[in-house]
This record gives sequence, structure tokens and C-alpha cells, in this order.
Amino acid sequence: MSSSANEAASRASAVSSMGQTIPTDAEVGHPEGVRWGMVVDLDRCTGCQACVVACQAENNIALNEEQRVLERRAKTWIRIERYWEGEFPNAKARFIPVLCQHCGNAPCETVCPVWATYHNNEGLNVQVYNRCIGTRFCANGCPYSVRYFNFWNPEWPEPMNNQLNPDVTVRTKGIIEKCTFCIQRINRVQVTAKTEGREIRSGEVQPACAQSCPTSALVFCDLNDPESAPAQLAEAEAGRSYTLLEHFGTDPGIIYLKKVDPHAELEEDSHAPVETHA
Amino acid sequence: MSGLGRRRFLVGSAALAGGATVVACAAPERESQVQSFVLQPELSLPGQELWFATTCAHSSCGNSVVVRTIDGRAKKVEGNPAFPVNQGKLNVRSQAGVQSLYHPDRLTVPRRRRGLRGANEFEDLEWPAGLDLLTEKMSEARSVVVITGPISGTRARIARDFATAFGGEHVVYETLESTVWRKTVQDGLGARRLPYLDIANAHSILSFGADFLSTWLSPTQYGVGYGEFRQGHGERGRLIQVEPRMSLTGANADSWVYVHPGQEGALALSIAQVIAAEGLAPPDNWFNVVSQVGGLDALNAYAPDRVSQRTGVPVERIQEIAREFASHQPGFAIAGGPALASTNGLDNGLAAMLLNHMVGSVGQPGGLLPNPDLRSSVTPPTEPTSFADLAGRGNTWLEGDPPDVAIVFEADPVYGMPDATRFADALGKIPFVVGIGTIMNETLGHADLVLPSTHAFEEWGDYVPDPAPRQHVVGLQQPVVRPTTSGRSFGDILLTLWHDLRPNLAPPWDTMRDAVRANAAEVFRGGDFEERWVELLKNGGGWNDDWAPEFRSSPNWHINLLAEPAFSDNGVEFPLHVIPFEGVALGGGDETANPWLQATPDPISTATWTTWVEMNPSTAAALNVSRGDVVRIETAHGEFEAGVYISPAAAPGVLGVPIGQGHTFGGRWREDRGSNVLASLAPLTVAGAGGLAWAATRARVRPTGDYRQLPTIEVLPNARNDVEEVIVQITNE
Repeated sequence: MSSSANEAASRASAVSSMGQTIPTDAEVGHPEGVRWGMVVDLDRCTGCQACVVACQAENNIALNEEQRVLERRAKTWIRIERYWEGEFPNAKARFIPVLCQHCGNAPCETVCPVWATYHNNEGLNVQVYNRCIGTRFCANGCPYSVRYFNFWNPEWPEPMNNQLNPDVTVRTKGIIEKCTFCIQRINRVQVTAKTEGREIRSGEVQPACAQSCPTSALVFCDLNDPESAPAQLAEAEAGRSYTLLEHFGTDPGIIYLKKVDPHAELEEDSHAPVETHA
Repeated sequence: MSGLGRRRFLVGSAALAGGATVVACAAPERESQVQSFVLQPELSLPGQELWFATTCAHSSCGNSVVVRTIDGRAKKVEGNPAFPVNQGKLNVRSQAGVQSLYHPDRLTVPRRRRGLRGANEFEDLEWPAGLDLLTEKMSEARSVVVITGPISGTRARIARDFATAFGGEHVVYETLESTVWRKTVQDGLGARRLPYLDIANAHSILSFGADFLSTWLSPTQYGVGYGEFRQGHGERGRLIQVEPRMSLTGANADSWVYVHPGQEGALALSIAQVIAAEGLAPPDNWFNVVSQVGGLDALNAYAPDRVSQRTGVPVERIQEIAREFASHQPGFAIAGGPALASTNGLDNGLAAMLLNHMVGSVGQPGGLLPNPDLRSSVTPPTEPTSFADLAGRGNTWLEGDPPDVAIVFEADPVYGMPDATRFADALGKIPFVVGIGTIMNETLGHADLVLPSTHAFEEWGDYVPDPAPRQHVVGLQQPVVRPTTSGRSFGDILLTLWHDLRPNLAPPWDTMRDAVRANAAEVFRGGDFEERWVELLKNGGGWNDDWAPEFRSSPNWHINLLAEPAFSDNGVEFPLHVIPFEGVALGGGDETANPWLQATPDPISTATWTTWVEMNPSTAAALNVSRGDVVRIETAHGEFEAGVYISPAAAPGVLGVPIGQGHTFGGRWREDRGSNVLASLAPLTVAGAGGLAWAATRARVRPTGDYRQLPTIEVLPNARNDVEEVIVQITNE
């Protein structure tokens, strides 16, 4: 662990603004219990945006009309970030899906004055909408910029309101919202499994983003389950795994697998085009 | 009623529940349908979710979906895990189907034109009045033309036979047509159906402009294979993309290669020459096919040093591509997008196909695999009518010989045909035009009568995916919710007219449900069909492997080795190339009314809601424009405005412009937004295939002096990964 990560870990048992000690994931969690997480294989991800729309459909995310985009207030619980490398003709576009990292040491949790955001014992960074008073401290504290403030009440012109998912609260003006790992789906599977008197099966829980992903770049899993396929994948691909902004020591619940670029070390000049174009 | 249809059943259920309905005085009708807790209709429990399998026919991608419904309302669309095409996965457009279903600007009742054509002045009608008007015009008609988008199965069969019965023809319109690839496959593989691309098992893919991860043919099917191609087997597959404008597939390639517009075929032949000259593939593979195109001497005319100037690709790079492709077999080469949209597009496609024969990937695992021909009564996806054919019909209509009636369904040629073809004027020569659709578009705006159709989730139908996944597949479409408007399905409207006006020629079915069921009974024979029918509906269709996998006939080579691409007008007055492209969300523009899709960022620019032009920094500097500056792009056939997006991937002299915006009809999220690049294209055709050469238009750019902030998701313009390494990479070498 780097020194910065050590420092972050030492701060993990932090004191909230109300003077109460915030326990760390390791303290409240169950090492042998569930820790929901995700493996994101950047070598499979094409940036096709299927996950983005799947998330908006599942989670009643307000319409991102043009003005909202221009104001930088569009809400996308999962977004595809595109980064450039090089210049024409060697320019490369790189894509990465970014969503709430459900951090074990989440900076957003320690700053909330009303405990609207907290860490549950399954590794989820949870947002309680009717506790939130809209200070936006959490959004300021999140290094991944994945918390979105509702500057307006959402509107769905009739009959578009028919599409709203009754399992998901519609958020009103003045509160923060963010990726929940589709907690409504987790709950549904847990209830079903309990009713049937069995354990949750590996792969049975599927957030909307992972379910839609054509290339299976997003795989949801219990990171503490050594038998789960994604956990095995992450283990097998240990050479490719990393976490986003690792130096912050946030202990993300999302493991990225590195993009593979067989030509990363090629001399760029060797590919300059022949100058014949008008 | 022969068999209780589910849709009728749902209507019947509501009527049944009406016994316990509370009708409040002055309450709107929709609020009066209170459901009794005692008398619950079958399949409906308050708060209980129900899932229905159906086919996503509205997005023409052939995906089968399961729709989650609660209390009779569709809530969420998921991929159908049983369906062999998309295997439980979905693309952006299929996801957004539910929003099109509940779109507030959907057509709800028939409308009759009151003002001039295209003036958007209509009056509402009742359905009987609308049908009476149509019946009257059809009874007087001596000829009729039925214009639809790409449709298949029972719907296509009815459209075709209906048109024939009324002395006309069925015309299929695609915005960016697949005509040239189909012709390439016919000539280069001897196949009648599009081949299956065995992406999952390929070790290399050499794509000349085919944006198969975004919009080309069957992107969800290809996406599933791509995941396996990259990380599913021992050797990570390598993707080489050759094109003049970086597509989403190009952005994901291991090697992205810029080629001058229209020179993809010359590059392919140069790669072939290297393979032959360096012995990179066994001569047994390629000797015969190379002989058919003129032998080694002909191929030697395309040696890298002889085409490097012409293609813009350095000699060493051509050699690298040839070695990389040939040494990582099995693999295959494909062509699409701008490669096939040049005037020499068919030659480009065939040159790419030649590479498959040379490396021996035709009919082999990891290569191009044959798909089965269709059986019996199921109509395959109707062949798109080529641009040249449609433009020729338009000219005939303009010259005074139009049909008496045009019926248009899910097609918008007035938007997509270049203005130079005068297609709107040609349509105006037809005495009576009836448009059928869920929402207004430019073509419906020119209609005399507009009839609202049901949404894909409200109607019966079937769908034959093309390309198929190496199986006989028929996807079934069933209503998953009760219709939210008074709309009727396209098939039901035609059947009603048919029975009323030509009863002796009419098919034996009264409704689309009957027709779909009868066709399914013919295709999926054996056993108790009642049980089979329920099973088919539950699975979202039927499929089997009962066929002999082989390409049955010989290729028909006729590559014109010397063909040079032609471009509109001169390169002095119009020095820049316009490369239009379909975005992952908006495609050809038919889904632009959907706010989810409008707000979906273009993966390359991250732009939303507008029309932009991708420009190389040097081109922008020469024009003295910056990001967000509004420029006027002028061709010899029109002009339009777009906001500048400076892209590190754009080639100097090439303007990438997204298709889809610039509508005057279609509701609050579509109208008066951005520009339509297609309108300003030159009406050039692809030789030998008749497709629109949509990548063959030259242009010039003039700054307007205006600035409009681009609605992009990226906050920091052109954020760099090589400065702050967010996306960590390894070479895996």
C-alpha cells in the first residue's frame, strides 16, 4: 500500500461533522459476507453507451435535455469517459465507464452531516434520499464526480411517466442521487432467495448496466465470494487489474482490468500518412 | 374470433373489469378504468411484474427483447437471453423502445391534410372517416406504390403481395442502404444471404470502414462476439480498421489506419499483393481467385510502393497490415461505411472479399460462415431498393407517370434522399399519399392522410434477422401492453383494405395475429401447434440448426482493378471531403424524436442534441475557427450549418458530420434541431450496385461568425489520457 493509501486508511475511522465515529468497511462489513462489486474489463468495453441508457431506464433518471448538458448538470449515474492519446494519424480514443465506485473508505460518507449517505454491510455506498438536505458536501468530496445534485424537479410529460420504474424513488429538487448498483434488483433477488430457502446464486444479481452490456465488459459480483466467476476473473487477470485513482486510498468496489494495446510502444512517426491529400 | 388474441384478450379483460368499473362524473377516460381487486384479469396482479418476449422490430436491429410490465405498463426492456442473435444483450436503441412507446408526441388519431403538402396543417379524423377516405382513393387507383423501411417476415409478405394485388410494387427504403454489401456478398461469396461473422473465434479482423460495433448491420450480435474476440480465448484478437474518418469501431481498433476516401479497394489489393509476394498464405488458397482478377501481374500493379501515394498509407504500414492480418488467422476482412459509399464502392468491397479467399477464411471457423436460406412461407428481409432505383422512380413520377396512391410506412425518404433528387417534389406528383407511423416525420408531413400505427410493443408481427446467427431464426412479436393510442398496425390496415377492395385476391387471414400464427404454423411444423405456439411466444420465436452449412455457388468476380473513385465537383472550389456517419444512438435519424437517444453522447465527440462537424486542428486553424464556432458547410448541392468539434482523430481535409438532425417534423425533441447533412449530398451512385455514394461529396467551409457552446458530456475539451493516466494499458506482448 502506498503512503497516501496508508494515510487514507488511517483516516478511515474518521469523525463525522457531528462528532460520531464513522466505522470503516472492515469494521462493519463481514469479510466472509457479501461485498457487492464490479469488474470492468476495459479491453472489452467499446464505449457503445448501452449501459448508460439501460441505467437511465431502470433508475428513473431525469431527462438530460440540451440545456442540462450545456449547464454541466446532466445526470448519468454511469457515463463513458473518452480520453485521447496522440494526434492524427496516431490518435487513439480510450473509453472508460465511470460510476459510483462504492468505496470502502468513501470520502462522501464522512462529510454528510445528516447520514444521508452511509456504507451498508454489503459494501454498498447507500444514499437515503429522504435524509438528504442537499449540502452537496458529498459531491464535492467525491473524487470520481459521480454524485449528481437535483437542481430541478424532474418532469416526464404524460404519458411518458408510464415508463417509470415503481421500484425506484423519483428524486426531487434539492437532493443528491447516484448509482445504487441497482439496489432494488439486489433486494428482489435476496427476497426471492430467502423465500425459496436458498443462497443467492452466482450471477443472479444483475444491475441494468451489466445486464445490457453487449461485450460483457461489466460483470457484477460478490467480491468476497471466491467462487464467483468475476472474482475468479479478477484473480486470473491480476496482472491487468487496477482501481481508479488508487492513490486516494478509497478502496473502490470496482476493479478495472487494463486495456490491452499491442502497439503502445510503436514509434509514432512510422505511421505518418503520405502527404497527398488535397 | 378464431382463437383469442392476447391483445383482444387484454381489451376483453378491461371490458370484463368494466363490471366493477367506477365511472366518476367528468373524470377523464383513462382514470375511469379502475381495476377490481375481486375480478382480476388473468395475467394481471397489482404490483406484480410480468415479462413478455417480443421482437424489437422498431429499431431494425433484429434484437429479441423481454419487456417488464407492471399493471399493464411497459417499464423496462431487456435482452432476451434465449434468442441466438443478441443472447440477452441490447444496444442503445433497443433500450429506448419503451420511451418511444410512451412518447407524448405520438400520433393518436388519423389526420387529413388541410394546407399545402409539407406545410404541417392537418385536421383530426375519426378512424372510420380516415379508412373511408383511403378506401375511396384506393378503389379509384390503377397503380399503387408501397414504400416501407426494412421489414421482413409476415409484414413484408403482406406488403409485397398487397402491392402486387393493387397493380404496384413494394419499395424498401434504407437511409444508408446495405445494398452494396449485399451485392458484394452475392458476387464475392456466391451467397444469397449475408454471412455470419465468426468474430468470437477470429484472431484478426481487417475492417474497411465497417462500423460493426456501432451501427453496421447487427451491432449487438457483433458486440457479443467482440467481447470473446478480445478476452474470451487464448489469443487476443487483433482489430485493424481502415477508414477516412475514425468510427467507434476504429476507436477500438488496435491499428487505426487513415486511407483517402474511396481508396480502400486499392489498399486491399495492395495487402493482397504483399500476401502473395511474401508467401504469407498458401498459394493453394489464392492462386485461383487471383487468376480470376487478372493474376499476379494485375495484383503487382498494386504493390505498396505503387499505391502508397494514391491511398495515403505508407509502404511500411501496408506491409505491416498484410503481415499482421495473415499471421493471425483465422480471421476475416469486411467492408462497409464509406468504403462502400464511394462511386467504386463495389470494387472496394470485392477487393476486401478477395482477402478472405486468400487467407482461406471463407466457410472456416473464425471467418465468414454461411447462413441458411429461408424456408417456405417466411419472407426474408426484403432487399433494399437501391438509391439509383428509387431516384429513377422519382424521376419517372416527376416526368408525369406517377402511381395513383403511395402508402408509406416506417420510411422517411423525403428526409434521407439528397435534395438534388427532388424526391419531395416527385412524391408531390402522386395524387394521394398516405403515411402510416407512430410519430410524424418529413415524409408523413407530405402526406394527404396520416394514420397512426401501433408501436412495436403493441402489435403482432415476426422478424427474420439478417444476418442470421447461423441458424434458421424467426423472432416473434406480440403485444406486451394494450395500445396507448387509437393506432392500428400496418399489417392490419393493409389486410382491412385488401379484404374490402380485392376480396378475391385477399389472403385467408383477417388480422396480423392470424397471419403471423398461420406462418408460424407452417414454419414450425410438427406436434401440437397450440402448445408449440405458446412456447414460441414465450421464447420470443423459434430457431433450429437443421441445414447444410456451405456457400453453394461460386464467386462472380468482376473487380475493376483500375476504378478510381469519382467525387462531386472539383477539388479546387470544394477542397474538403464530407464523410457523413450514423451515430450509435440516432442512426439514420428515424429515432431522433427519442430524448434518451438525443441525450446519449456520441462516443467520439461526447456531443449530444445537435449537429457538429469533426475537424482536424490544422483544418480548423486554416479556417480560423475553434470549438463551438458555427460554420456553414457548402456543397454544390446545398449547404448546412454545424458547430465545430476539433478532433485529434480527424484527418486534415476530412469533415465528419453526424446524420440524424435537421427535422421539421417529429415532436418537441426532434424538430428544428441541428442540420441534415444528407440533403446536401451529391446524387452520385455506386457503380454496379446502385447505392448512394454518400461519401463522395466535396465541400467548402465558411465561418458564420456565430458561436454556440457544444452540448458535450466531456467537461474538459479533449481530455488526454497520456497526461493523467486514467485508463491504464498494457501491451500484453
